This record gives sequence, C-alpha cells and structure tokens, in this order.
Amino acid sequence: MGDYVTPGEEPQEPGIYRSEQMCLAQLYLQSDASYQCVAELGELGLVQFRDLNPDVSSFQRKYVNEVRRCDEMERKLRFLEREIKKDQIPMLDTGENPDAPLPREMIDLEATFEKLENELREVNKNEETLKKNFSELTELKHILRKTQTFFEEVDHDRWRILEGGGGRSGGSTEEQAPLIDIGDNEDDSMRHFSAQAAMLRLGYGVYCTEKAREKDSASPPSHHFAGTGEMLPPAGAMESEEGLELTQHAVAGSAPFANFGFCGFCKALFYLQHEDMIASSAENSGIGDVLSADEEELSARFSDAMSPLKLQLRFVAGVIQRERLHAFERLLWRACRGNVFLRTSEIDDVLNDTVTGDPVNKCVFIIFFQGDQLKTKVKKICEGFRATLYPCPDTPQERREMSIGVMTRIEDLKTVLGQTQDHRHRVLVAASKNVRMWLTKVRKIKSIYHTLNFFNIDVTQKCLIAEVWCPIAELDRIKMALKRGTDESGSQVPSILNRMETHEAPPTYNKTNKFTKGFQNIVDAYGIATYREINPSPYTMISFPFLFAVMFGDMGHGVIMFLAALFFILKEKQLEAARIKDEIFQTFFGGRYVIFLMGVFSIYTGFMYNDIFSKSVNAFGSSWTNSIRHEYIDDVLEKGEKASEAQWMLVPELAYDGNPYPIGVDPVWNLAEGNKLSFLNSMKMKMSVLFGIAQMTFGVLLSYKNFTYFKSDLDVKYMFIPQMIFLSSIFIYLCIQILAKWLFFGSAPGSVLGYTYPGTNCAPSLLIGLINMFMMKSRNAGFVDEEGNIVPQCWLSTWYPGQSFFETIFVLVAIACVPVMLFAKPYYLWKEEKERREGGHRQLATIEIVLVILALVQVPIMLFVKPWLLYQREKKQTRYSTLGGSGGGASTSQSVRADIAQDDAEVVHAPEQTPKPAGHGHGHGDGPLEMGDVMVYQAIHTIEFVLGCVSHTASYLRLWALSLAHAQLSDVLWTMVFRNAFVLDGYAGAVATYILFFIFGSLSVFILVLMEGLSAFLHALRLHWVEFQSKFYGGLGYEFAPFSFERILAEEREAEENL
Amino acid sequence: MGKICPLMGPKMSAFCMVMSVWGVIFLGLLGVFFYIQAVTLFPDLHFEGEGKVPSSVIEAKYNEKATQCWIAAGLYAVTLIAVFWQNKYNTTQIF
Repeated sequence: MGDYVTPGEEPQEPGIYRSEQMCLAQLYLQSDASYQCVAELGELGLVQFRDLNPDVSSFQRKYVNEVRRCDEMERKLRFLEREIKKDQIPMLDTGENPDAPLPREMIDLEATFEKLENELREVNKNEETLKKNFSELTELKHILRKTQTFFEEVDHDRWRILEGGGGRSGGSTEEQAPLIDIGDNEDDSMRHFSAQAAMLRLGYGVYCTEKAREKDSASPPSHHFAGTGEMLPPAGAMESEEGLELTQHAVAGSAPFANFGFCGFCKALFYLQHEDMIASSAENSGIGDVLSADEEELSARFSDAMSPLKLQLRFVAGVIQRERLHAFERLLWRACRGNVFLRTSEIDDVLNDTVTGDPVNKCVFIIFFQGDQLKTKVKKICEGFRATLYPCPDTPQERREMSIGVMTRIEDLKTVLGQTQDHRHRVLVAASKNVRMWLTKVRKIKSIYHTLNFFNIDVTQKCLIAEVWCPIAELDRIKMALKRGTDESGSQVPSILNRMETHEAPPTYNKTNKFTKGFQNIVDAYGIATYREINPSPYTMISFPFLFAVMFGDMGHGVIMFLAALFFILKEKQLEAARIKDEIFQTFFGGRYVIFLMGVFSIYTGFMYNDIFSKSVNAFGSSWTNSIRHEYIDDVLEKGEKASEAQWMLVPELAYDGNPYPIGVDPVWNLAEGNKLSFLNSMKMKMSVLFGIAQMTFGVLLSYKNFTYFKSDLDVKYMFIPQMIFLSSIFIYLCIQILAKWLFFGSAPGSVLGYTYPGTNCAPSLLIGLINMFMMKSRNAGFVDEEGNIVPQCWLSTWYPGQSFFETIFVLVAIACVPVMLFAKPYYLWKEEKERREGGHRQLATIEIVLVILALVQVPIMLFVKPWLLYQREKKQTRYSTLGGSGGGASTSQSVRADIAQDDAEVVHAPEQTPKPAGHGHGHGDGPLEMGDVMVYQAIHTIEFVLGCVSHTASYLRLWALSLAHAQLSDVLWTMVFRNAFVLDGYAGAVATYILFFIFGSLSVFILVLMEGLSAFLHALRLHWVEFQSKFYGGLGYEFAPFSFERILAEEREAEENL
Repeated sequence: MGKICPLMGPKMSAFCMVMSVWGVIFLGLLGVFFYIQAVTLFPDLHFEGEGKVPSSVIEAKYNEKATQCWIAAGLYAVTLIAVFWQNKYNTTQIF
C-alpha cells in the first residue's frame, strides 16, 4: 500500500469481499508535462477524473481547439476507411496499441491526413468526371449503333417494297397487289407514296376487320388514294377525316401529302394499338431478333416510308432510363397529339449511374417529328424525363465517322480511367496499412484533450490541477505513471499527487477478472454496491449456480449445458476475435463462466435427484427389493384384464433393507408410479425451505458484518439482534423441525423423543403445526392416549415434551422483536439528537417527548388493534366449525397475499431509500435529525423484514416448483415422444428410433435446456436480488469509471460496429 | 472452394453434426443399457396383449431394443459423416 496509507486504517481485505478503498487526490501537473502524464494514466486506466469546470460550456474550455482538430482528423480517417472499404481492400488490423503520440506529432498526422484526403478527393473528382464522360460516350456509341440499325432497316425495306412483293408473307400479298399496281402507274416521285400506301395497307391488314374493309371499298373513292384515308377504321373518326384531308393534299403535291399521311397514319396506329406498338418496339430491341414476321415488316415499312422524307422530317435521338420509357412514350403521344413517331431500342449492356455507381438499364430512343414547335415540345418532354439527347448526324457517312471518333475516344478514356483507378488503389492500399493505427492514435489524443478540459488551470498558467478518484492500493502505480509522464516530457518539475479528505461518497470499484465479471454483473444489475459495502458477488458465485441447479436438476441437461459452456471457454480467443454481433450469442458468450458453473452444478443436483433424461441410474444398488411373492404376482397376472391396473406396494418393513442408498435419491422411486411424486415433492419442498432459510439467515449474518464495518452500534443492537431472534424463533425452528422429522420419524413404530410412535400415519404435520404454533392452540401431547389408542388426528399432536411451552415462548419472543426493530433505533437516534441540543428548548423538548410518545403509542394501536378485534370476532364465529385443513388453507392464501404485498413494498421503498445514503452510520449528525424520515424508513424496513421472512420463505418454494416442472417436462418428453420409438419392431423400429431421437434431442435442447434454463435462471436471479440481497445489501453506490484508453477504444469500436 | 451438393448451410450442418455425435453416444449407451436389461427401461418395452409375459420374451425384447438402438446409432454415425462432409465443403465461414 505504500506510504500513503494513513495509520489506523483497517487491514487490507481480499479484493473481492468489499469494493476497493478509494481516495480523492489532487494532481498538480506542469503544463508541459500534463499531456504526457494524462496519456500515461490513460494507459494505466486506474483513475477517474472529476470535471472541475462543470459550469463552463464545452466550447469555452481550454483545449476545445485540439478536440476539434481531432474530430476533424477522425472524420478524415473515417472517409479514408469508407473509401478503402468501397474498394474492398483488406485493412490491416493487428490490434496493436500504439502509444499516444506527442502533441507535436499531431501536426504531422494532420498534415498526412490532409494530404491523403486531398489526393483522394482529387482522384475521386477526376474519376467521376472521366466516368461521366465515359458513360456519355458509351451512350452515344449505343445511339449511333442503334440508329444505324433503324436506318439500315429502312433502306433494306425500301428496297424490298420497291422491288416487289416477293418478300412479303402470303397473307398480305393479295391485298397489296393492287396497291403496287397503283404505285407502278405513278411516276417516280409517287413511288414513295405507294410505299406509304403499302404501309398503311399493311396497317389496315393488321388492324382492320374484314367488314370495315368491305365498307370502305363500297364507298366511292374520289381518288386513287382515297383508300388511304378510308382504310382507317370507322372508330377513329377524326383520323379518318384527317386521312381524307390528306388525300386532298396529295393532289397538290405528293411529297407533303406523304409526309402528312405518314403522320396521320402514325396517329391512327397509335390510337388504335398503342399498347401493341410499345410491345413491338420493345421487342425490336435486339436487331432482327425474335420479331414476329408481321411486326417486323410493319416496322420495316415505317422506316421505309420516312427515309426519303428526312429532309422534312427531323429527329432527335437520346437515351432514357428503361423504367421511364413507358410514361415517356405515353406523354409524348398525348402532348404531341400523336404527331411524333418514336422508336426505341434497349441497350443490352448495363450502364452505371454516373453519380451513385448503381447499375441502370437504359433505352435508346429516336423521335421523328416535324416543325420547330414540335421540336421544342419534344425537347421539353425529354428534359422532363431526364432523357439525355445526343447529336446524331443525318447521313450514314457522318454517322460512321462519328462512330469511329467515339470509339477511339472511348479507348483513350479507358486508358486514362484505368490509370486513375490504379493510382487511387495505390493510395488506398498504402493508407490501409496504417488507417486503424492512426484511428487509435487520434482517438487517444482526443480523449487526452477531452480529459485535460476537466482540469483547473492555475492562476499562473504554469500548472494544471486535476481531481481524481483512485484506488488507494494502486497509488504507487499511479505515481510511477506520473513520473514516467514527467520524464518523457522532459519537464524538470515533478508532478505532484496530493491526497485529499472528503465527505463525498467515493465510487465503487470492484476488481474483476473474466471469471468473476459475469457474477459481478448479476449483482450490479440490481444496484452498484454502496462504497465499501459487502459485495455479494463471491457468495453469488456459489449460491447462484446452486439454486439454479436445484431447479434444473438433470444430469443429461446439465451435461449439455456444461459442454456448451466448455466450448465457449475453450474457444474463447477465437470467438472473441470473430466479433460476432448477434445479441443472443453475446449474452450466452458473456455469461460463459456462469453457464459453466450452472452446468456443473446441474450435473451434481441431477446426480442427487438421480435424474438423467428422466431416467434413474442404479449405481450403488438400490436398498429396496421385491417383497411380493412371485406366485402371488403370477396369480394376479393370470386373471388378465385388471392386471395392468393393479397397484403393488413395497412395504418398507419387508422390502427396505435398512441401509439407505449411499448418495442421492434411491433409483427405485423412479419406478414407483403411484407415489413417486408424493415422495419427491415432499423431499424437494422441505429442501427448498431449508436452502431458503439458510440463505436468508446468511444474508442477515452478512448485514452484521456491514454494521460492524460501518461502526453502527445501533444497527447491530436494534436491527441485527432482533432480526436474528425473530428469524430463529420461527424459521430456524421450522428447519430444525424438518430435520428432526427426517431423522426420527421412520416407517417403523417405536418410541420417538419420549413418545410412543405408532407409525407413519402419525408423523407430525409440520405446516399445520406451524400454524397451530401461532394460534397457540392446545394440542394433545403424544400420539397415543393413556390406554395406548391412537388419538384422532394424531399427526397434529405435539411430538416432543414441552413443545407447547417452547412454541409459546418462541412466538412471544418473535412478536416482542417487532417493536424493538420498529422503535428502538429511531428512539435512540432521537435521544442522541436531544442530548446534543440539550439546554435551550427544554420546554419544547418536553412537549415534543409527549407528542412523540403519543404518536408512537398510536402506531401499534393502528397496526394491531383492528386486526386483533377482527380476529376475536372471527374466532367467536368459527368456534363451532371444524378445524382441519380450512385453517391451513386460509393461512396459505394469506401468505400469498403477503407475498404480493411485499413485492409492491419492494418497488415502492427503493426511491424511499435514495435520499438516505448516509443512514448507515457514516453521516450521523450531518444535519438535523428528521424524525419523520427515520420513522418511516424504519417502519418500512421492519415491515419488509417481518413480512419478508414469511413471504420469502414461501418464495423459496419456487425451487421445488420449478424442479418439479422440469422433471415432469422431461418425463413427458421421454414417454410421449421417445418411448414411441420402441413400440415398433425390427428395422422400422431402428428408423423410428433414428427419427424420434432427433425430435427428442432437438426438443430437449430447445425446450428443456434453453427455455427451462432461462426460466430457472430468472428465478435464481430473483431469489438473489430479492430474497438474499434485501437482507443486507444497500446497492446505493455509483460505479468507478476510470479514464482508460482500453475502455475508450473498445467503446468507440463497438459504436463503429453498431453503425 | 466450390460448393458440392449444398444441402445445408454452416449453421444447420453444425447443429446436425452436434446432434449426430450426441445421437451416436446416447443411442450407443441406451443400447448398452437395454442389453444389460436395465430395470429403469422396462416401462419403455412394449408387449402385445395382456397378462403374464414369460421372462424369455422380456429378455428377447430387451435384446431386440438394444440392437435397434445400435442400428440407429450406426445411422447417426453415417449421418455424422454426411453432415461433416457438408460442413467441410459448404462452409464459407463458421463463426
């Protein structure tokens, strides 16, 4: 402990028994050395800095600039890390722990990061531009290629149409023949027109009904070309009118006519079969792919029709996202009233979005229209749909040239892009080797400056003053660290550590290792121990797994749990390194040592219960033999029918050999179908009471250690002693009764404790006995009367000499303890207070005394008089009714109610306690005594204890209940599931065994081990928090949170992973 | 490593592996206990009809069940090999 221990302090106790002794100390650090010293303390991780400028906002602190710079560096590093991750470069993470860099190194780091970031940003920007160019060029390339095919199709088709109908499908030949004739009759310029007509004709052929055609042909054609218009179906009246109009135009000049006719045709076609058009154009995407013959021809003729008109017809080409295409087409059709013609084709390659880099599917489109107005309209629509328009030359020659130009540019860009990416990759690879280490360094610097902000700056600006909590046992190491820090910084003046006296409650610091941590967490989850209070965790380490195992007693399930925990423990390092984020896994992994012990203890209790997957093992030879004669059994079996229902009893006198089974439950009970449960229940119930009362008594004994430690004489005298007396006179007495019953009341009649014992039917009933003890009922002494006849209800008799007397004494003593617990301590506190204020207000004091006494008298009156009167009345009424089980029933329900009420009291009283942390002897005399508070506190405590003793004893019965539930569930699983495997014979039986074992095994693991285990765990937790710790544990402390790099880095890392 | 006939993922195959190991041990032992005619397993035997059963029949039944358990244990041994192979070749990463 070194020279810092002031004489007179108590000797060092083993670290885990109480929390570490802490002291408040002042650190005087030279301004130059402060950074290094804090860095050393951070590596050590044993001091908790107090904020000495709590009222200064974080923006006005001294080192806010440095913290901000660190934030900036961290941001840059995170950016770097993101870029590295994006490129899927593995990051070197050796987990090494570099020392906190010197302040001057910070500038280098900053410069490095700045440079890296700028470089990366530059590269990224270039890359983005290049990529944008690249994708634009790619799109242009696609446009050129697609439009080329559009136009090529046109040329090809024009040739076909002009050369004759040879290429046409047979169905349309007949209809087209006359049109071709017409075309032939016309002059050269009209040929295009005929092609146009053929087109329309085809459209007609596809879309018009036979009837409509007949009708059309019946109407007198005013023109050669009237058919053109009339061929439009009657449904589209407007179109047909327009068609007629077109015919007029045709007289004036063939070219314009054809032009308009074409548009009109388009319109009609769109109107009629808009959807089909889209489908067909979509299908057209693959050049000459899976088009149906008709549609191919149709589209071919479209192109054919317009190619000669390209002087009049203008077009724009562009690229649009595939998802937008449908809407785009629709809008184009509606907005331009069908006066435009759209061809689309899908780009087969998946392009990348320039900004996000996500893959997108795009389509090339080409829109034909006429006139400037339409052009602006179309352009607006394109803009609205975010379609990119590209210039597309009119002539094939130009297109080819442009295409070649684009290709070369793409090639160039590819080279440049490759180089850029290479460069970026090189930069990132270089950075990836260091980025984790840099991050650690920066975080360390940041935390140091953050801590330095807590410091007080001396007026001379020469030194910084800090206040720290630190464990006294570690002062030497802290001093060494300070010395190292000073040396490293080259400062001449040493840093000074000065212990201070304080009245503040120090933080609670329990040293833990990986084994004790799990149990300490269980305790801390209830409340951090008050400073220097007894730490329940060492006891929890044994009692927690034990109580768990009492509820989980099964060797088989215990082994499963044990092996799972063993796996976690043996593979600890690998599993930790794997950093599995699954929360459930982390819970189990974190509690691996707890689970390990739970498994081991379960194996032990399972061995005691002689239970392995609901089967027993006859390891040492059962003490029971078959006492029933075989002939007799055969006789009954011969009779058939009822044989299976026959009950056979092994009479202990004959079947039991007198030597009990060496350890645990005799396996014969597993086969006792009739009374297996009666036997086990009775045994387990009594055992739970024994364990429970033992644990509670132990808790009360621990409170004694607490009281003596805090030198609270009053508490020992007026809390601990009456509590112990109360507990012993009722509950420990009950335990002794249980043990006595086990020891003395066997199956054989004889003389027990001075009374004649006629046999098992007269074994004393302890529960009703306990109730009678409180009722102070007169009972028959002994089991037989003078003549040797068994008295009626002999199990209610007293069973040792002087029992009534002793029990009366016990009850009276226990009741007498209650007012002592309730009033003694407040009275003495008050007396002490009064003595201090002696003189002055003597008059007032007398009045106070009278009032207080009056008030104190009221309390027991309020508490007891009404219940007593009620009880009297009740007694009068029930005098004539029989006693029997009704008394027991009433009492049990009462205790249950008390249990519930007690739980409430637990919840309510917790905040009640908080304002009184000094109540345990530390702070007596800190302020004026608040008699009301003391009284209320004491009353609550007393009521809690008295009622708690009853309800907690009942609460421990959960040990039996859960153990029963577990045993029964595992029995059900065997008999209902696995046993069926043995019904079948032969190979079917083997297969059934194979399958049913899988089901049995899975259910065992998931229901019996996981779910039952969880419920047993929770109940064990409750027994510790409520039943055990309420006897001695305050849990009002606050945790020691040292400044430690390890902790800070771990937290940061966790936060990073949870992002 | 390419996936060969991937029937189950790493977690499933690990679970099945544990179950098969357990199956081999558990059923092997259960077979032994049937073989030595453990009384505690008597309720698990199934007899046709009512009335007295000669002890020779009971013994035969015990032996039959023992064999049955061992066959099932053997089946689990085969399963273990299959699952182990699954685990080895289809595991991208376990834990």
